[in-house]
Amino acid sequence: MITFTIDDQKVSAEEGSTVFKVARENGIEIPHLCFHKDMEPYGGCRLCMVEITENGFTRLHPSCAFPVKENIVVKTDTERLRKGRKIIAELLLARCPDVDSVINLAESLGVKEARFKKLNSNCVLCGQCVRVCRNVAQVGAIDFINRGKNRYVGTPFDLPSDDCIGCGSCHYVCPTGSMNMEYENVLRWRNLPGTLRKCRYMRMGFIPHKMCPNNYRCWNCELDQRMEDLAKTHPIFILKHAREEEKETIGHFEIRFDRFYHEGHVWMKRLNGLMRLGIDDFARQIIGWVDDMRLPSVGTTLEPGDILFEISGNEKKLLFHTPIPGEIIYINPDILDNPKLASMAPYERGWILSIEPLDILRVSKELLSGRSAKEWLKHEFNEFHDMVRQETEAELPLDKPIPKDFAKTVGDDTWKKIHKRFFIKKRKKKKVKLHHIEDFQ
Amino acid sequence: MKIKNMKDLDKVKEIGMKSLFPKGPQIRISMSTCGLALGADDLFQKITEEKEKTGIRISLHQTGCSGFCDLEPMAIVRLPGKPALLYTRVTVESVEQIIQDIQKKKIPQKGLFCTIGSDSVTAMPDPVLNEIPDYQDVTPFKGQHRMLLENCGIIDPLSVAEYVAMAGYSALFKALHQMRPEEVIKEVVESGLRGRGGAWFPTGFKWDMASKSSGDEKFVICNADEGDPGAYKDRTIMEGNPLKLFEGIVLAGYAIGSHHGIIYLREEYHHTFGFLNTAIEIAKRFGLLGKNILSSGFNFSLNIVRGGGSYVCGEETALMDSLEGEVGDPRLRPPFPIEKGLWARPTIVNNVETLSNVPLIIQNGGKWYKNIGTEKAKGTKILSVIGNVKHPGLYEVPLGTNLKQVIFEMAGGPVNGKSIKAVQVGSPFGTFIPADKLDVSLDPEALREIGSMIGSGVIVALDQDACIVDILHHLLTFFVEESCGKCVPCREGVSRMEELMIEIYNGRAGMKELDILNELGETARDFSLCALGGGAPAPILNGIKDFKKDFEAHIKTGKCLRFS
Amino acid sequence: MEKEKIEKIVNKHRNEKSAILAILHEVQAEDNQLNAESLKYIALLLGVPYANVFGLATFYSAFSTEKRGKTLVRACDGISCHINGAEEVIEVLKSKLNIELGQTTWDEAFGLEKVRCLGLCSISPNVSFNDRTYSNLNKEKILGILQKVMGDSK
Repeated sequence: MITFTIDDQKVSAEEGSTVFKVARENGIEIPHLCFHKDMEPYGGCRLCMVEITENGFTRLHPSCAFPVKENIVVKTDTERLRKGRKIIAELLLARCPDVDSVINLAESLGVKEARFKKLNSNCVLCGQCVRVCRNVAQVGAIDFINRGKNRYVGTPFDLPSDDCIGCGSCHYVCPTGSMNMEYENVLRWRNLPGTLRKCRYMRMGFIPHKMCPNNYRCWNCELDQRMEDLAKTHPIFILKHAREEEKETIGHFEIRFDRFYHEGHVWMKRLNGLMRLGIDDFARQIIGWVDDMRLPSVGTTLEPGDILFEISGNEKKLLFHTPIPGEIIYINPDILDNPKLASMAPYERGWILSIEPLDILRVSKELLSGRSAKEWLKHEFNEFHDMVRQETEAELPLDKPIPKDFAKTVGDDTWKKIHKRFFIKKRKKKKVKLHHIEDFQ
Repeated sequence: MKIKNMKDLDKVKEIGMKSLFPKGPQIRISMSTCGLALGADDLFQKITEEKEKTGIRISLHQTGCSGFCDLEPMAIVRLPGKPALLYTRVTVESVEQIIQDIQKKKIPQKGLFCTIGSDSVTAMPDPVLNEIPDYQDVTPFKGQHRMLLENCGIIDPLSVAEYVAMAGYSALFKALHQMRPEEVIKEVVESGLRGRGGAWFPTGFKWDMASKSSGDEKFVICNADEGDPGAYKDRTIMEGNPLKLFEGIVLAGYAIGSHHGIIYLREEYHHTFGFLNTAIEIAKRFGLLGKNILSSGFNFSLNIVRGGGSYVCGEETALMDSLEGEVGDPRLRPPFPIEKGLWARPTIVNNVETLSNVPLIIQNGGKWYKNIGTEKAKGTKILSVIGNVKHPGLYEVPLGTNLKQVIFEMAGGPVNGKSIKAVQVGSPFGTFIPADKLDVSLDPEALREIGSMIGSGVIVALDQDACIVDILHHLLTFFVEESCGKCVPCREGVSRMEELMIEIYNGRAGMKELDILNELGETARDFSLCALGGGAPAPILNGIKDFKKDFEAHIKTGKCLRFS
Repeated sequence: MEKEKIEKIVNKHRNEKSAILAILHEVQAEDNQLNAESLKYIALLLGVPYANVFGLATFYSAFSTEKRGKTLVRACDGISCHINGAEEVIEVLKSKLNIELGQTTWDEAFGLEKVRCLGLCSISPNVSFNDRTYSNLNKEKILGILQKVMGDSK
């Protein structure tokens, strides 16, 4: 627990919380506009600024984003803060003179009218709609357009959006009530033929299939009511996305569910007709460090069973099979510059090469993914630890990654066995020419 | 050929020396963006044609810009047995005569500006030469302390050999083969080097924290966005001596444990983009970038990303967002870039000028560097002096040099017998210092004491005919256009300040509006998210205070002070 | 731009969102415009929302969703150019091309823009016509250059 002071009051908080949240928990309300409890802080309205004294230095910080720290002194209501909040409220009032929530906010801060030329916007650019659409609903039908004082929220070329799922979360979070994407799209959908009138909960991803029986009068809909009661906020905030369950750790090996796996421990991910490929965490932990590689040249055609590439590190080498038939189209230039990337970020920047598969549909049926990949990795994990126990008579911890120098310390015989059992099952007669990295420059 | 050891380095150095001090005659033409804008490519073409026509044996090279672009096109002519001669404002028409003179072993006269390094050459006494001053004694080069700009305008920027001949890459060789990363950081900490992009944050301290941060990857970002209007020092370094910058970047990577560097280049520098890419290819060929640099086992790859034309992307967190493929909205801090920067990995963002100091520090030691500058601000600063002075250009001087000396002695003072009214130091965020207060030392501490700042070193001199209200309004339009729009105090506050300034300019406002300007300015200064909104009010608020007469003239008559 | 060309450009940058600036630069350079079809297809290839790519195209001043003139005239209005008379030069450009800043001539031959700054501050005012920059300008000089450039473009 972290203890610090807010407005001369000693408070304690959990690590990772923010000053704003802790203030609220202790009955201190700080003015705010762009904050939403279920989303990452934005820090754009600057109303929640507080004075924080840390190590003898006093600075202004947005309380919605400042992490609590031991012994800081927070002041939420000084003269300087009040003056600044008044000006901000006045600026917002000049921007949106006819919006009730802005008028109320300004009044609560003691501002009755603005001394500037009035605009007639009804949006305060708090960014909540953009954030909920992009990050929570993961749709991104609207975004900020232009910059500076010409910035506004909208769709490309102000045309109706094909991406909008009609969830209405933008309307829900909007503090001024000016966001009407949901309404505009609902009007459009009412003109769609029967089979295309998907319920918006189907579009959001809650249910696999439902047609709207209500002519999109969602406020009259039993399902909508039930979802809102369940969520106690907009249902979008309780939607668990595939993205969040995208990876898992089996034992101490990381597996990602957004890609395919091959039993030779390479992963493959589809990118516009090509399959991008790299080594998986199992291979990475076993080799420890990748110092060097030998790769096939671009244009080589390969069949399953052919050698694809060789990585070396910690004085050992590993050979990998081609998982699918196809032609080598690219080698990752970052890997050529720095082969260590394959061990530093094997699932991301350390990808190795891209293959154009001969038959992409067959590929998806023959590789492991999702649950089958999980089962397979569990099996590999158990077999690996059994083998290590047998061969080395030492125990590797089951809940920590393999020590980085494992490959160096393990004997040559044991290494050969590991290689044969987990990586290369059968060697094909065909010789594939592999090149050193220097040959690619 | 890849440079693998000291022997290779010495071999390359010899080649460079022969190239810099040839036996036969040589001409070098400045071919940077400024030279090209003033016809240097036509000049180069004409000399090539004359060479072929006359069959004269003369070596022709390119150089970068020396920072005094209004003396372009510049040419350096070397005649055997004579010191190098600098020619300014060379025209295509004068080429024939120049070639003829060189053939006759005579010194061409037209445009002869100065000699470069006359005392190092023993030669037959030449009456012409005795009249010609040397580089170090002639305005505007006189009095400068050119360490960073030493090679700009002199060497061929794409020649590894010439740079090595001028002691290039001896620092990187020393660091990679004889020093540990902690020792490199120690030297930089000892030197007292501070960021030259405008924040003046201690560089060594930043590197030390980044080297201690954990992450599977670390990044070095070179901020070459150079958005401050009036600043072109980074362009001059990049087009005049890019290998020095690369050396500095690799040293930074070695120090913090990063293997990947990115140069974020200003979109408006079209020529520089192609040029730097060529320089990177050349550096790779010599084993100075990429895998196994100088045979040390250290890998470092460097690539260039062009910006999209946005000043706010020069701010380090907005820059990182831009590199990640987002719009340049600055991020909230904490977390700081040295912990979670580009792609949430530890990242250091350094300015071009800052990184160019590092090879000198490693080569000569942090202790040596400490001897230049003031107590808290070490080293030199490249100042870009522009506006109503006789010799606008880049002046590299030790920190702590007096502003009056720079304006009146080095830059020649005002033109046409006028008097200086105000000088803005640290444009665009610096304040306008009135003429009677120019006796101030150019270092961050001294300037902060008088309410100003040194920023990236842009110094704007205004003479008696300038109108402060007009200039302040011009600054405000710049800030309004470049604001990202994320936070209210900048997006709304600064744009309302601009509206008020127009009203004041046109005589449609009074003293009350000045008070409102002050209120808006104070709020934007304290509440803005980044330094654009936070820094914009300073020149405005100080201008209102120090130049009351200008404002009164506009409020009462709607006209500038000199007309009312 | 045709879909195949866009695919080539996006593939060259390894389909990475972080390379979006470089991708947009290339498409803009050839088409002189980032139109709806191009932006939509780029978004599809990169797997990012269309609105996000559109937002990027409108945030950065290097890009234009409208057709820009074949010759882009960028007049520098940085502080140095401003002090040395950029306003006059810009007025000449506006009147001779008969357009306002940010607009394109009716025949799409010229587009006029303000830019800050070109980094040529000691030889201001500066104006660039596509990749060719002219410096040390004044009213007479810019008139002469315009005559030549407009005559050449006919």
